[in-house]
Amino acid sequence: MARIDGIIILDPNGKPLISSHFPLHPPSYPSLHIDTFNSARKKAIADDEELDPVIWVNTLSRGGGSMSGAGLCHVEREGLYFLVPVGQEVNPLFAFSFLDSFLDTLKDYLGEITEINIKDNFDIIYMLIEEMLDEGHPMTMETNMLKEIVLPPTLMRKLLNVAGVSGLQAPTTQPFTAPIPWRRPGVRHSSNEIYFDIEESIDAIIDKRGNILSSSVWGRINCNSRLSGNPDLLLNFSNPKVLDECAFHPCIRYNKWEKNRILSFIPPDGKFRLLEYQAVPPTTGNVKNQLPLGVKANLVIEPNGGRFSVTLSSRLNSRPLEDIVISIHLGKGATSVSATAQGDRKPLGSRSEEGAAEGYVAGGNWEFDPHTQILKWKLSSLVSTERSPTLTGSFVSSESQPTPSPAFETSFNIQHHSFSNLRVDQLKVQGDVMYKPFKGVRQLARSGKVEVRW
Amino acid sequence: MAALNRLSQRIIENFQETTRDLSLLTGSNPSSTPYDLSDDRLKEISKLLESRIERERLEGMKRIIAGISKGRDMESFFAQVVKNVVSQSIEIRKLVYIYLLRFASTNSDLLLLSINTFQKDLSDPSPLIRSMSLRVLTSIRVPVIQGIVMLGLKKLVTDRNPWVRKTVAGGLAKVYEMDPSSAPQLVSLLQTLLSSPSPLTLGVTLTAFIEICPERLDLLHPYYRHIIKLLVDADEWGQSVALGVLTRYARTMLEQPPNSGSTDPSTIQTQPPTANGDGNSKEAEESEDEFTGIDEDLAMLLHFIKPLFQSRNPAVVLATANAYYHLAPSSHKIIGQGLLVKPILRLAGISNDERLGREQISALTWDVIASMVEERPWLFAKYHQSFYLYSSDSTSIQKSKLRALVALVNKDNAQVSMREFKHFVRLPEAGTAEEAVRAIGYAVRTQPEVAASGLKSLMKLLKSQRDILVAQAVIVLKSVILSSTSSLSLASMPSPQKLVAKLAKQLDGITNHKARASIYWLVGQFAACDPSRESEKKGLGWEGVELWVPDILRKGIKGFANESAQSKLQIITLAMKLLVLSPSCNQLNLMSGYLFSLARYDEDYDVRDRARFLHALLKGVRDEKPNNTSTSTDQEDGQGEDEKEEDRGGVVLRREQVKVVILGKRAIGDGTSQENYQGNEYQVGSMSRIIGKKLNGYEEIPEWTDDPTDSSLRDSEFENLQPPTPLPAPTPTYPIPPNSSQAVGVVRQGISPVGSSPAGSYPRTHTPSLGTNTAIAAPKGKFRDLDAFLNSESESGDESEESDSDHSPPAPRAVTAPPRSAIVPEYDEDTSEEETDDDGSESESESQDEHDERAALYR
Repeated sequence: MARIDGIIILDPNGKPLISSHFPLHPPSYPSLHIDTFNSARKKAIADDEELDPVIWVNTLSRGGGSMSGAGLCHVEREGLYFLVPVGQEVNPLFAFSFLDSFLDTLKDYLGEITEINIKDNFDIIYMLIEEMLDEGHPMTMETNMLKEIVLPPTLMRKLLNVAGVSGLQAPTTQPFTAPIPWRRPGVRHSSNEIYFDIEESIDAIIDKRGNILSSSVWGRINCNSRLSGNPDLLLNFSNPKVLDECAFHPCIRYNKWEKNRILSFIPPDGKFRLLEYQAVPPTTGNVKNQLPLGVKANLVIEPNGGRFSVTLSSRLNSRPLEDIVISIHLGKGATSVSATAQGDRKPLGSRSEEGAAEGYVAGGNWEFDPHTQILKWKLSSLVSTERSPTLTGSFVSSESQPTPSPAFETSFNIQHHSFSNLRVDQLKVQGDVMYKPFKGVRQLARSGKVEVRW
Repeated sequence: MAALNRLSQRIIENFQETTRDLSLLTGSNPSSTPYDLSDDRLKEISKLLESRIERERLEGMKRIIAGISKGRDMESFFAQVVKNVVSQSIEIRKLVYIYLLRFASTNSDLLLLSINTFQKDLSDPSPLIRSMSLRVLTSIRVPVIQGIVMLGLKKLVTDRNPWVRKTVAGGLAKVYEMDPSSAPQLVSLLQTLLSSPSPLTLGVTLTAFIEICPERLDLLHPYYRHIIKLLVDADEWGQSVALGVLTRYARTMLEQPPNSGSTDPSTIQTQPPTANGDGNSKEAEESEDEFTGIDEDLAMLLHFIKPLFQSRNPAVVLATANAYYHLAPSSHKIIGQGLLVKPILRLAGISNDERLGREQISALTWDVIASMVEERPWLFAKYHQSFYLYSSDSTSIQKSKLRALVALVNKDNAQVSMREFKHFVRLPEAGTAEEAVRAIGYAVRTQPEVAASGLKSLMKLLKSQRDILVAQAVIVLKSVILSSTSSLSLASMPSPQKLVAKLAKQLDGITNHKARASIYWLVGQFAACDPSRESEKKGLGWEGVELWVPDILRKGIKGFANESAQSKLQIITLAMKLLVLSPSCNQLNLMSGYLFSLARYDEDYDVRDRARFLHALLKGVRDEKPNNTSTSTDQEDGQGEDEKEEDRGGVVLRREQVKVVILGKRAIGDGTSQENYQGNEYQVGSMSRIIGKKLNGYEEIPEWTDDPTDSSLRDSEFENLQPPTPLPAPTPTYPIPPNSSQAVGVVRQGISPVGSSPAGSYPRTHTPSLGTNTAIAAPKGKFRDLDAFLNSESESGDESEESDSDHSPPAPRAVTAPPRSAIVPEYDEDTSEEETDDDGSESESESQDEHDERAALYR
């Protein structure tokens, strides 16, 4: 129970780069999983399907029962595949949670997770796996803690190694003595600063008439803390009521939040995710206000093609919507599109040359990729005062009755905006610190899955 | 100091800038990292390992590890590697450890050379070294050193540093695996660890508990409240394990709360409807009464794990939701099941963003949610909107959401559901669209008010260009038609005959085999014409058959050669049905004659067989003379069908009888929504359920006990007990807690009703440990309480008998008294009995009661 079998990292061709020890299994065990995964992946590509997140692997291993096997959980990152076989009954999210935090740690150590980086630092990765997994049980998972045991590959160390002074191994503090698992003692920074990134995304379904059928706002606060000593922080929101369902970093004191709706915590050092939340759904009258983009879309299917029109408008007075992309999959067999985009403004000057080749007009650019059959309409920005830009046109398909996706997908960004109107009120620093840190808060609102049915 | 660091950093960067072309920094050649392993580099390893320079030894170790990960045989370096175990560099040592763990079991002799070092390190001042060396010691699976390992564990179990104790906990299970007979000692170490005030060790300790003695839940009594209090501060990975253990504990030890499980609170009227968050109605109630009727320990558990819903770790959120799902009362303001809904929906929703790379977490969570909705739709009814499909969702998420939406269909949301289903049919993903068609069918059958609009869109689908959807629509329509004839509730629907006629009209456009077969079958089934409407046909067509039916048969026969085997069978059946309905029609006789000769020479043997069989069956009808030779009594209904073939010529059915046989209500498997979704026998929220196959170690969560343990057992906080010396107060005897014989039954009940394997394997897999346990315990118990002792003795005897007989057929009479009485340790019986089982497996007739009775008598 509560154990995974090990971890395997595959390169883009499906060859193993790293394979942790599988102490309880025969040596063939990992190869069995790699084979199964590769053939399942090939099949999925051939059939143009998605791989199931968990693949059943018949391992015929010991442990009784004729049909013993394992579930193979897998994740793709940057073209690499990370496999975790699970041979025993376990919480279904256990393996993926582990992978998630393993990848976070790896990113912290290597910067970018790439094949070259992994090959260069494979010894560190092995040591990391060794510390994180004790025969499949997660052991030490806190990045801050791991950094004391397995030193990250810094330039300093490389240099010293080359110079032959590898005796300078001893870390500054004794590992395993920190009273707080997520923060190592004696952190020092020359300039004390802490940054909060509040990022919100909205999921919404809009029907043909522009009504919102379903919507939810998700938020996360990422934090980058570079504070010395053991600072004890108090983060106040001016309207904490909009935070409905939260997921906290373990450093947050739950009781204080329950009682006063204040975030009180001693932060880990470096980057971490402080909080995830779902915003309170707006009262029925205000649903439209939360989604700042109004889209009206129509599409009519005709024999061997169809016609479409999309109209956009911004409901946000204070800020422009940026990087708006409307896209739709026109179905198998779609071959070409002709359309006109109309709008008030010329797109920003720099783009004129690129866009000139295809579909360049005042209302932004559109492009159609015949390989993926996806039509994209891009606008660099949109403000509420301008006349609504529209895209009208038609497409041709080799199929007599094409089946385009039943909804237009929409994406956009808004800087310095929050769908839920969450505002940070103040940040107090307590504890044994004598400095006044620099504090920064940044907000970004973006679309998650926003789709407009036609 | 910090400034100094930055300064040196700056200098190094500068240095690197200026010396870039020297390519000094990445070794001799930038392209050759240790990972690239050519043969000559391999040869250097020995030399490197023997080197006196630390850096070179490190390089050698790196190459070895690289070799391992590339699948090369690196075992030959074992001797040289072992020497490096005393290295001063932690980095080298770690690589050595990695290497040793991999090859220890095959090189135990050489390894023994290094044991001394490890043993010495157990007293090292650095906690890191202590824990590392203990970890390696416990991971080396060599029987010879088990004594040393056990000493090490005992020494460090009281270590001041919790991280070291954590390693001890991790080591317990490994030792147990090597040597199960050490269980009693391990259990006492486990108890010491359980009483540790640090939350750090909690998770690992409970993990060890699960692996060493998962059935000894009675051990947890004194620590139960302690564990709950520490839980919030434990590490995330431990929390999810602990929640699993506590769920089992609560099920077997605590009293079932009222309305737990899958009862819909709205159907229970004993309580005012507080379920759906109308808080003001219960304002008056006093806080003390909040938990009335609920076991206080259970309430405590549910209350204390509430913060875990807010964990950042998805596994913990799911584990908490699971605990609530299996333990909480269905409607309760503070600790009701309703609490689990929002967190788990949040988890599913927030992870479903491709920019985070957590889609798999979302997919699995949706899967779990769908299973929960299927079992308890009322929990999620309020959040209907959250389940709408996005076209950018992955296929597996779409499927799970759709499953949930189907389960959520009820009177209130029928219209909205229908609108959504209709939209989903348009999704390009074939599998999802198919499911959506089925969902429409389900809504049509269950919700009369949307039936008409649903049917309309199903009929419209028949003209679709998407082959699979047409097929699915036909199949769904078939099940709708069949259910509409059986239930009168669907008054708003057109008559089945009309629907079938409409379907038949589409026949030419439908290419899917299964769909065509279904249509032929339906036409035959509904071909009969109401005699009262015979006049409407104005003498056209065939008597007793709807006007349009003969044309379908004509089409079928005309294209017979090109039909699939499935359809061919149904065409023959159709002809047959018509013959029975209208035996006197000459045209029909000619057509069917032609059809039967076609079928007789068909390439598919099923078709040939069926044709011959039906031909024979029709003998009586064709002969047209009332043939009364048949012994009609035993040839009723479908039962006659099998027998017909054998006694050919002997028995001939009359027309009425054939009619019953052929037109009887037997649907071909119609694969509609509900049937497909259910039938998963594994627990909601388990990995086995998601894979659909049973994984090792899967166990049902036990049913609620009928006989909860007294809460005073848990009163005794561990601090009040005697200090946890070796073999402390809670006796390690199998389930006899001191002075409470009541608990015995409880433990047993928790374990015995569990499905096949756990019950069967329980006495067997743990035979050694438990055997010794009871052997020790027996004399002790006698001095304490004779009654309890006798009770438990006979009961545990029953237990072993029961579980045994669950597993294998009852023992034969051959078992005789003498060998039984001769054997003292009771669990040995299992084996002896099994042997005799195999010998005399013939006599299975003996009743179980008798068997049990005898077993008790022997005591």
